[in-house]
Parts: sequence; C-alpha cells; structure tokens
Amino acid sequence: MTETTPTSPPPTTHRGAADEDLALLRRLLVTPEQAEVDALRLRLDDPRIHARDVSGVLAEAIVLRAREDDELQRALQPIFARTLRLAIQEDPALVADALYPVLGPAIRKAVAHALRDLVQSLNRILSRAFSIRAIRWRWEAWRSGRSFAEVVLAHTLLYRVEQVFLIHADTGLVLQHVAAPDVPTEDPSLVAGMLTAIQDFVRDSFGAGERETLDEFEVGELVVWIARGPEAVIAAVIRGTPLPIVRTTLEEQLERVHLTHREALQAFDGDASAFADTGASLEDCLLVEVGDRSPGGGA
Amino acid sequence: MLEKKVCMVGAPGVGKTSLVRRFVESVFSERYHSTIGVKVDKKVVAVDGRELGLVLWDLEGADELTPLSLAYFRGAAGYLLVVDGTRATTLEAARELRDATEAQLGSLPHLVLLNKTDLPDAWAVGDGAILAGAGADVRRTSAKTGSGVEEAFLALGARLLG
Ligand SMILES: Nc1nc2c(ncn2[C@@H]2O[C@H](COP(=O)(O)OP(=O)(O)OP(=O)(O)O)[C@@H](O)[C@H]2O)c(=O)[nH]1
Ligand SMILES: [Mg+2]
Repeated sequence: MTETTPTSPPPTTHRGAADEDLALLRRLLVTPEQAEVDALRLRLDDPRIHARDVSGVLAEAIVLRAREDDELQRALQPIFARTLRLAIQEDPALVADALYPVLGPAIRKAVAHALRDLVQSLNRILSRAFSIRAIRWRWEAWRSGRSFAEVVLAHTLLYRVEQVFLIHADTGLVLQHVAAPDVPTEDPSLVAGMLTAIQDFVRDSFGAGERETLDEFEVGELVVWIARGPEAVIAAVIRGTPLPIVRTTLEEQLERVHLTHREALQAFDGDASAFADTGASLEDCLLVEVGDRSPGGGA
Repeated sequence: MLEKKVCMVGAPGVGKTSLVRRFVESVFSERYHSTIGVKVDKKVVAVDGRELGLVLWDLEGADELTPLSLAYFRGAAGYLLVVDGTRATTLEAARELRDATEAQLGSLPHLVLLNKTDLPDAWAVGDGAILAGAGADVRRTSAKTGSGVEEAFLALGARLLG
C-alpha cells in the first residue's frame, strides 16, 4: 500500500536505460518483420515495383471484373476511341493496312447484293439466246468439220483468265504464278517486273496518289486486271471480256493472302518459297465463263 | 530460288542496256536505241553454289534523279552505276545520281562501272577516283568486248547475298 502512484517522474537515468532496453528488445523481436516492413514500404513507394506487381494480376483482374459487370468496358471505351483516333491521325496508312483484309469483304458484300438482281436477269436472257442459236452452231460445226463444242466455245467464250501473278508490291518480284492449261507463258519474273514498272510509270505520269493506280489495261487481245493491296498485288491476264466476278475474286484472294501471309510479305527478301502454298488461292482466280457473246447479232 | 531486284542507272548513252544485253544474251550492237521508261530482264547466276535470280531493271538514262527513277528504284536490293569512260560529264552525273539516291533511300550495295574501256584513246575519266570514296567498288567494263561485265554482275550478286 505504500507503493502508490509516484507523484514525481522516475529519475531520468533510469528511464533512459529502460528505453535502450526497450529498443534492444524491439530490435531483437521485430528485426525480421522490420525488414519486411521496409521492403513493403519500398514496394508502395516505388512505382516501378508497384507496376510490376500489378502487371502480374492485371489480366486476371480484368477477366474477373468483366465477368461481374461491364463497368470496365464502359471505362475503357472512350480511351480506346481516343487512341484509335490518334493512331489514325498519326499514320492513316498503318490503320488502313491493318483493316484492309477486314473491310474489303464487308464493302464487297454490299455491292454484290445490289448487283445480284441484275446478274440474274442477264443470265436468263443469255441462256434463252443460247438455245435458239444452238441449231445454227450445229450446222456450222457440221459444215466446217469442227467439233460442236469447239464451235460453241468459239462463239460463247466470254472470257478466260489465263494467268495469275502474285507480286510483291515493293520489289515487283513475283511471289507465285499460275496459268491455265496449255497457255504459253513467259518468265513470270519478267512479266511481274514489267507490270510493276508500268504501274510506277502511270503513277508518276498522271500524278496519281500512292493509292490510285492503273487497275486494268489492254495488251493486244488480252486484258490485264490488277488488284492492289498494301503489301502485294494480284494481276490476271485475261482473254475476252471479263465479268466483274473476276475482279471480286482477285480482290478476295488478295485479301486472303494478306491475312495468311502478312509477316512473310513484310519480311520478304527475295525468297518466294514462303508463298508456295498460295497456289490454290491463285488457281481460284483462273475463271472461265461461257455465254452468248453477242445476243443480238450474228457471229 | 532467291531473287533480287537490281537497277541499272547512269546518264543517257553510257551503255546500261548494252551491259545487260551482253550479260544476259551475250550480244552487242553498235546501234543506239535509247531506253524509254524501263526494261526488265533476268539472269540466274550462281553465287557460292547458291542460285540467285538477278531481276535487272534497265532504267532510262538520266543525269539526275527524277521522281520517276526514284519510283523505279523502290525495292531494289542494289544497283550498278554506269559511267561512259569517254565522257567526263557522265562521271559527274553518276556522282549526283548516287548522292541523290542515298539521300532518298539510304545506302544500297552498288558497283561503279566505267564502261567502254575498249576505247582507251578517248578515255576521259581516269580511274574514276571521285566515285571511289565511301568504299565503292569501281571497275572497268566493255559491253562491246565483254571485258569485266560478267564479273561485275557476279560481284554485285555476291554483295547482295553477303
Ligand atoms: N565502244 C563501245 N560502245 C558501247 C559500249 N557500251 C555501249 N556502247 C554504245 O553506246 C551507245 C549507247 O548504249 P546503250 O546501251 O543504249 O546506252 P544506255 O545507257 O542504255 O542509254 P539510255 O537507255 O539512253 O540511257 C550504243 O551505241 C552502244 O553501242 C562499250 O562498252 N563500248
Ligand atoms: Mg538503255
């Protein structure tokens, strides 16, 4: 009972010693934790470490949140829109090139829809005319000693795609080449080179922009149709008068090649072996069409 | 097979077309048909046992780099810069062409050919020293006799593969 609350502070020396002891005790007890606390503080203070930590869970976090609601999408949407706008402002060609294989089919589908009715009515007219004239052609075949099929083909071959070239846009070197059976061919490298040179010439002479180019011209009885993509060009050598389906097909196959061979196209260094498997795509362009070439008049 | 686009450049009449014809077809003609636009030719050569298709773009002669010749140059892996050894002005033109080309497209592998070496009495360009800078390979050729022609194309081919 004599030990009551001291009214005066304990002697300072005493207190100092106690503090030291306490500090020592704390050190002994908490040093390991202290190190951890320091490391943690560093983590929180150093944005780089922070970023590294977050990066480890970012993808999972996004997935989790996206499963719950669409707040995240809503938050990111304006950022994406702004980023895209900036990217287009800075380098429109880059974005156009990236979108090229995607946009092409969409645009074509719309056009094809509008054309379909027209084509159908045309087909009807053609087939009727065909049957009326068939008798005359039989007569002609008999008289000339040629086969009926030969005569029909001579009268009705609308067009035939004889050769198709896939050409690297930048170098003008040929990546792949296919030809219809029995078509005599030149060295495709030369043809590809000259086709490219002609395009360069036209672009220069008529002051056309990088994206406007000659897409068809005549060479004797042949016509050449050209479809251009950002990295490659498809050229078709055609006998007769081709229908629009030929252009559509060329464009489709060109987009395909851009989609499947983008990296090979960009890295092309003169070795065309990476494009050996585009042969099937090009063969799809070797179209032939028969019909009535001159519905009104004689042959 | 590996293919490379190679351009023939130089002032008009220096012998670009003749060099290509000598190399590709082993023929020469005294007649001068000035090239209009460009003519594309090809020859397959063997370099270190590898086949290399040289796709040769024989450009129309020009004393300076025009937008058109720059367009033709696009995608070239290298070029042959041709000088008429009997006309000093074509040496100066070659230097301007090279400077302009390098300014536009950066440095490309190339060789300088002092052509018509079969005409020693009319020789007017010495050893072409002004083009020898920057480590360029300067050689003498004659499309007429064939001297040095094949070697020059092969040397460029080797540079393109090396
Ligand atoms: N003696 C001699 N004549 C040459 C030689 N090379 C070319 N020629 C002649 O020089 C003239 C021009 O030759 P081309 O090969 O047409 O010259 P180019 O550089 O192609 O001319 P452009 O197409 O107009 O730029 C022709 O008359 C050739 O016969 C050569 O090595 N020796
Ligand atoms: Mg010439």
